[in-house]
Amino acid sequence: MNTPEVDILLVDDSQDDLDLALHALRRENLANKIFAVRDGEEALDFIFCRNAFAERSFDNPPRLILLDWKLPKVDGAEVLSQIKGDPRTRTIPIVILTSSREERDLINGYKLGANSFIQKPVDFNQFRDTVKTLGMYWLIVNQPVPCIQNLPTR
Amino acid sequence: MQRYSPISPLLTRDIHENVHLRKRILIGLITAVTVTISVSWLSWTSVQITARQTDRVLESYAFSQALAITLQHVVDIQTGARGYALTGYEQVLQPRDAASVALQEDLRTLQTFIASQPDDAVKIAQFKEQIQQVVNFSDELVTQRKNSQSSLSYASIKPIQDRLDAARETARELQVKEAALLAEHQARRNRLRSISKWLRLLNLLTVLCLFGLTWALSHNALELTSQSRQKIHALNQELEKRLQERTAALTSLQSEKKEHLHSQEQLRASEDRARLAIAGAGLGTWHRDLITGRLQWSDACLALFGLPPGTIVNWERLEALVHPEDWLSLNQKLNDAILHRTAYENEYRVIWPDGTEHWVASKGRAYYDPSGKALRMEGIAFDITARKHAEDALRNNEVLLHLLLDGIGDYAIYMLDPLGRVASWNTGAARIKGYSAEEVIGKSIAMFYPPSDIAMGKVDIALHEALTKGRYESEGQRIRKDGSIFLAHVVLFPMFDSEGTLRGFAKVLHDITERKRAEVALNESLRVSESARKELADFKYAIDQHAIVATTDVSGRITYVNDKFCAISQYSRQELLNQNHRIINSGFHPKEFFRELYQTVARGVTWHAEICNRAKDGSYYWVDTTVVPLLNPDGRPRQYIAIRTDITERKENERKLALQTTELMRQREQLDKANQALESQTQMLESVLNSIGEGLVAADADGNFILWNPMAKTILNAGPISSSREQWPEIYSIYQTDEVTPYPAEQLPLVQALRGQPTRAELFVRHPDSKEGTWIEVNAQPMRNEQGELCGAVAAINDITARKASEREIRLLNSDLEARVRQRTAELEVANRELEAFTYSVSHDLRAPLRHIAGFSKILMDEFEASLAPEARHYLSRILDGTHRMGLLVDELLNLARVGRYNLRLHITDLNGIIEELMPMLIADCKDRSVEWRIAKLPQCECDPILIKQVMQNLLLNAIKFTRTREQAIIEIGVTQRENKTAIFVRDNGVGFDMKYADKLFGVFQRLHRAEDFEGTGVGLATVQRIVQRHGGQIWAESELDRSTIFTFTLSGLAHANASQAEAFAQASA
Repeated sequence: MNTPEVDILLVDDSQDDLDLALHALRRENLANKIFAVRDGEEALDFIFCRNAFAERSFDNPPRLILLDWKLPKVDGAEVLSQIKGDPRTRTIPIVILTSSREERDLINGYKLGANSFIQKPVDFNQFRDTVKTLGMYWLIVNQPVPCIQNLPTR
Repeated sequence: MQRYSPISPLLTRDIHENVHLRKRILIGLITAVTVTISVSWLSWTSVQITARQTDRVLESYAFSQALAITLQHVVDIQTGARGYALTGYEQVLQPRDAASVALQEDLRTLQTFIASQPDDAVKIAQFKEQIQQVVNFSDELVTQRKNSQSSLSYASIKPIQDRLDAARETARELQVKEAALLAEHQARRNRLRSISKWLRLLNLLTVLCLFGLTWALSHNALELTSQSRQKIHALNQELEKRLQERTAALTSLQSEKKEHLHSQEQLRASEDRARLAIAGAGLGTWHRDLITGRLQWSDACLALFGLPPGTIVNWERLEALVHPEDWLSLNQKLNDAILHRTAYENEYRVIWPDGTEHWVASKGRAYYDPSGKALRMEGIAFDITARKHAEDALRNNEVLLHLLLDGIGDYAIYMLDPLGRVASWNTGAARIKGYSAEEVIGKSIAMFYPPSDIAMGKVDIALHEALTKGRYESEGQRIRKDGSIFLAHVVLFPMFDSEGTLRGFAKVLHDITERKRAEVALNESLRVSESARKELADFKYAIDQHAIVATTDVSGRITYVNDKFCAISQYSRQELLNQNHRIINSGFHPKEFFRELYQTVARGVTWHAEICNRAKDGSYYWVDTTVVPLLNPDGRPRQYIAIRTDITERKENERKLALQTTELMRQREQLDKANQALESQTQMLESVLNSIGEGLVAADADGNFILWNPMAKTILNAGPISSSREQWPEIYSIYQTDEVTPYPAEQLPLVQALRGQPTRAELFVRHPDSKEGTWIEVNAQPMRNEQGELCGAVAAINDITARKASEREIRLLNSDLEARVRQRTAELEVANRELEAFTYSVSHDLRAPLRHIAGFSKILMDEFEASLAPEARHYLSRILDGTHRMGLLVDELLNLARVGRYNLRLHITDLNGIIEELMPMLIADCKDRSVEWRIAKLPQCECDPILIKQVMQNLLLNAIKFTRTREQAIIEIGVTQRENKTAIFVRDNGVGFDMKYADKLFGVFQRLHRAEDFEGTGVGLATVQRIVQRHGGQIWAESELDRSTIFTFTLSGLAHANASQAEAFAQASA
């Protein structure tokens, strides 16, 4: 199957959160190439092109992963750890988007290679601003890695 | 007229013979006396010579002694000078000085010998010269030594030795010569002694001769007397016849008287001559008529009675004339003659009318008639006064002789008849032989001889030898009446009368037992007295050396003082002699004292006392005095000798001793008091030590225990045991805290303290007799005396067994507790984790739905506003408000929870910096308002900056919030002191709060204002308090309602603010 190009991978177990996030992204016209998965396992399958996403190629990784910290099955930390631990996926920017403000989580997230750690504001306006800023930054302002294949391996 | 015939030639011859006899007696007596005197004189002379010789001997002795003493003094001087010259010690000069003084005396003594011994004068002078040289040289030496101040060489003192030797040699020569003289004198004396012995014998012989002569003379005289009597008798007859013839012749002559006047003259002269002759013959005639009693006396007879011629005498007159003592015998004799027809013969005394006494001899006879009747008595009388006187003289001579013989009481002088029988016996004989005259007269002298001598015929030999040789002399034993035997010297002379007939023997016997013994005794006593004299001299010398000696006569006048007396009294001998002892009276003793002294010694009793005397210079000295009276044979004191000993020093010592004793007594009293005090203190200390719960042990610097109180004994279960400190751990079973390793002795607290190191340690004491040991804590301190020197150590010992047990228990409990704590902590950790999970859930899970509500409500509001009814929009906005508040609340709660388990990261933090960081946010929060910020210079603080920033933010936001109603808000941040700690305060002039709710201010969800007035969650201040508490601080809130509120907090890391460093308030306004 031809896998569509995905700009943002949303990983969240909450449909509510997903809807709100999609709503916000859509409003900023950033929601065209968004793919949402509901748990960590699915997120990892997607990234590492296996199981349901086996036809996907590592050649088209998402340009940004918005990862919830608390996830069923495989939690956010594990997902983060695997993605950042694999040279093929290491360059994918991952922004932890969580309702938690636990320091421990923050530290753990950054240690594992999270590119940013954002608490989901209760206030929706703030949430919309945050999502808008995130999308604008990572998808437009930030220069992505030129070519994954050309990256030197350790 | 009576006619007298011429005197009979016979009578004349007798008278001539009588006169001749008297002459011979007189010559004999004179001769005897002369001889006696001569012999006596010789004897006396010999005694004198002997005495002189004895004096000479004594003088020789004295001279020798004087020489020796002098020489000794010279030697003393020389030795002293030499010693001083060599050593320079002053004390060696003392004997020299004393000897120098004595030497002057010696020289004077020697001078006297020069006078008495001219032979030695030159030598003595030489000796004196040599002595003087020695003395001079010794003086030179002493002077030299004093000047030179250093020891003189041997060579320089050698000459003195030589000179001394010369003096010695001279003295020796003198002594040798003196010894020779002495021997000579002694020999001469012995010769004289034997001469005087012979002289005594000669004396005796002379006496004997005298005796013999006298005896012979007396015998002669008696013979003559009896011849005279016979002749007188014949003369009487003749006279009577001649009387009758003469009467007739006278008658015829009378007739021729006138015719021959011239013849008459011649005749009268012749008559006178006859009368003179008759008167010279002293014959008177008497007649007594026995019938009539008439007395008829011739004139011559009357003259015999001192009566004038012609005196008529009768019987009565006669009685008056006759000496009364002789009258009775006269009558008796007359009557006897008449009665017995015997011749009457009588000699009696007559008292003449002139009172003179005369002797008359009267003879006569009675005439009888044929019938035998006495008719008359006729007789003659003549004067025998002269004869009587001669007899008296003779008798006196005899008495004299007798007395002479008796006076020679040492000699038995007696006569023997020719047969050797005792004829006379003198008192000497009676004394020597013990027989009285009556017992021996007429007995043979053999009774005096011992039987052995009689057997040898010594009696006859003696008599025979005396007879043949004219003299017998021997010494032999004789027996006294009491049977005792004595040694006798006997001389026997034969005695012949004028016809050469042996009349007997004169025997002179002398008891020589005594003499023999005396001779022996004399020699002995001479020897003894010589040594006694020397001994006495030695004694006197010794006493003089030791004692102060003086003698006084009975009147108390000083008659002798020795040198020591002079020395101590400081008076010269001349000043003292003939003085009374009052001269040294000190006045110290009362008069009674001396009165008692004189009374005692006057009784002849020795007196003894200690006397204080005064010397010439007025100084006092004490002498121990003994006064001994020397007694005459009658027991009365002759003189007194006072012997004294100088006890001044002793007295002084006694006085000092008395003072010292008093002082000592006083000190002793003080000491006693101090002792009592000390004792009571000691008792108190002892009771303290005994009752104290701590064991106390003290040791001196040598490690000897000096204190060991009962508690120490109890704790250590032992008393002090004398031992070296190395043995202490062993003796007292001291172990280290592991209870098995013996405690090293050098580390014992007491031992370390003895080294000066205060030490505290815990030890274990295992008692051998008990299984369980004792834990002790020992605190040992060195003891130092006042000088700070180490003088021992004391150890306080506490039984900490119980404490140890407690500690062990506590330790057990602690470990138990720790386990429990660990368990509880684990539990708490679990709970914490659960709480964390809970808060996480709250923060995460509660926020999510809240966010969803808010999100969808917002979408609804934004995108479907137009289609909603106005009321729906209102409700929707209420939902949004609610979700917003809830969101805040949840965030705050999370924050609070997070603070609780947040690990503090402490940094030195600039509080002003934190405020500056907050300022933009704060100013933004109060835009459009007038706020005056007063920010002081705050101190640095060691704290977690993030949390403290929260605190400051909370407080400042509160301040902004509650001053919202104020036109001019004032917010002040400063430093203050709270409970002695630096504190930060935040003050505002806001609405404040009622202080009665102050305790609720910091509670969670506690709000003092309505939400409509001032928004808030009621969690902020709780979070602030939590942060402050986690920083070890405190926070207070004070407020005046509607006026002001001040929050003050301290932090443990808040340094003390330096007020001077505080800067002026920073002004800031919005």
